[in-house]
Amino acid sequence: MKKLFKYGLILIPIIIIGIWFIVFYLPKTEVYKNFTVKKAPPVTAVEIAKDFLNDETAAFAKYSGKQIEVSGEVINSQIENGKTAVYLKTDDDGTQIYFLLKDSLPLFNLGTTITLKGICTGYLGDVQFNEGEIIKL
Amino acid sequence: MKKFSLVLFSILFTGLCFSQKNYTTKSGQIKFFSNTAIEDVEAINNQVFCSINTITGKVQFAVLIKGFSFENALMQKHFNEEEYLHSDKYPKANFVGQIKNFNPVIFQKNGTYSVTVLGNLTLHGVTKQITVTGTISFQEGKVTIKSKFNVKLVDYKITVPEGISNSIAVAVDCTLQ
Repeated sequence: MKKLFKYGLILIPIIIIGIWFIVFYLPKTEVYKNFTVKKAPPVTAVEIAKDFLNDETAAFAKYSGKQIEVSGEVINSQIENGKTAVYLKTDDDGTQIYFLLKDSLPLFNLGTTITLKGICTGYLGDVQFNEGEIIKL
Repeated sequence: MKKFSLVLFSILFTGLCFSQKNYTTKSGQIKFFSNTAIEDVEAINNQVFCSINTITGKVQFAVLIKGFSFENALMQKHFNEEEYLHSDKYPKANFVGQIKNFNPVIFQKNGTYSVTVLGNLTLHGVTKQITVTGTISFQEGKVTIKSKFNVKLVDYKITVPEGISNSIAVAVDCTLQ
């Protein structure tokens, strides 16, 4: 009985901390996000815009909610709500690939070709990405 | 006579085009918040499309549901699932409204003005008429719209998760040019 009480004293806090870690702490970490986010093959800005303009529903099913690497030419870069936004050029004048980066970084030179990684959230005049990161500059 | 009418029409039409202005942004912000006994539910979307017409007082907002970021990734996953917002089926939410008792002068004089907007909010495939109050600030050619209102989840056929209140507080903050 004494032994059981002794082990209980050690085990119960460990179990409580374990539940807190799995339920509340882990889902807020980058490790969890990296494990759970689905990935799609790399594309160019021109290709992904074409897919959304040809068939928005099919493109949404193919790309949305997935982490994708997109390369293209910077057409605009500005600070929005404290974060850096990057717009990539496509073949359609009215559509851009709109990345909102995770952090506030120095603005990019227009005309530069870059590769960014982010989570595609869909199409709203532009193809939108959030949680953006630079892969190649 | 025909030529005269055509010239007159062209002048009037050109004048109309120049006097009408749509202020827009792609980087508006919408936050929502709900507190629960266990953990607060809070999300933010920084890629909100917003436009306002300075002649008619028509206001539009559009947002991608998957663009809402939560601090808790598991909560974000649940939010997008079929039981709740079902973002694969209903990827967008939008609001189209009209400022009540609209006076175009508010876009000619610097200041902050209280407004009431009556419009239709479409969320989760359901469209409902709502009235929201807020402010419109006009400062040096920039328009800022701010509003706080509550959305009742059951009105939009969204399952209310256990422990969460039926309505969520929504805050809109958009600067347009």
